[in-house]
Amino acid sequence: MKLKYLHTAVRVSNLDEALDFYCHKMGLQEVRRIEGDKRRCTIVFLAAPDNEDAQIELVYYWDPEERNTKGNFGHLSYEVDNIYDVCRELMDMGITINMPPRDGFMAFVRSPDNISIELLQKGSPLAPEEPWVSMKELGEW
Amino acid sequence: MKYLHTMVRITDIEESLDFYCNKLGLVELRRRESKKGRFTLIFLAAPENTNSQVELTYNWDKENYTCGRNFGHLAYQVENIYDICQRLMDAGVIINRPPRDGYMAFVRSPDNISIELLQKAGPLAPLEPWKSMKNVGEW
Repeated sequence: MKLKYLHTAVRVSNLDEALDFYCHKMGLQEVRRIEGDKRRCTIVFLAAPDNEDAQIELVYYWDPEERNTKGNFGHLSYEVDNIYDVCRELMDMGITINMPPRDGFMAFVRSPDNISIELLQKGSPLAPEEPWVSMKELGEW
Repeated sequence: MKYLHTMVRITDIEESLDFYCNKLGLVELRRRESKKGRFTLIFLAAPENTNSQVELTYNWDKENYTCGRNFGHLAYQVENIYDICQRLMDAGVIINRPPRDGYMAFVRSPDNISIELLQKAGPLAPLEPWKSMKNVGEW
C-alpha cells in the first residue's frame, strides 16, 4: 500500500482571523483555495514557503450551525495509488469504511481513537465500481 | 519554516500501531519513551514520504480524550525560535509555552489548534526575556 502524506485539516470559525494568524503572523502561504458551493464551505490550503508538499487545510463552513457541531480538528490526508485496493485491504482487516469511495476518488476511515483519515485517489478519479458505488455511509468522519 | 508533523494522542499503542502501520501502511521511524514524563512518542510516516510525519503520543496515565482533545498539534521547524516568537508576540499572539530552553515553543491558532515550533539543528543558548517567561494556559 503506497501512501503519500498530503495534509492535516483543521476547521476554523473565522476565515479572516485564521488567515491573519497562519499567514500574516506565522508566515505560511496560501497555496490554493476552493469555494465549495455544494458543501457550503471555503477550503484554503496553506504551506510553509519552502515546503509546499506538506500542507494544512483550513475548512470554513458558511453556516454557523455546521461550525458549531464539529470539533476543530479535521483529519489527516493521504494520497493512494488505487483507492479501491486500499479500501478493500482495510475492509478485509476489519476497518469500517465510513465514507466509501463511491466516486472513485475519496474515502474516509477512522483510527481507533476516532481520528479521521482521508484517502484520496492519485491523479483523476477511477471509474465508479461495485461494491463501492452502492455502499452506504457509516457514521461520521 | 519546514513542516514536521501532526501529533495525535492515542489510548492504546498496540491498537494504534496495528491501525496506522499494519492496516494503513505507515512505518515506524523512531520511538521515545520517557520514564520521567510517563509517555511514549512514536513517529510514523508513509514509507516514501518520511519527511512528513504523524506523531502518536501515548500517556501512561490514562486520560479520556474527547473529540477535541485527541488532536495534538501541528509542528514546524524554524530557523530561529527567538525571532519567530518575538514576531508572533509583537503581532499579539500569546506564547503559551515560551522557548525557555531555546528549543521548543507553543502557540495557539484562533481556533485553539496548538502549533509547536522547534529550533532547527539543536537548542539556541538560553536568552532573556524567554528564559524567565512563564507558561500561559494549556497547549
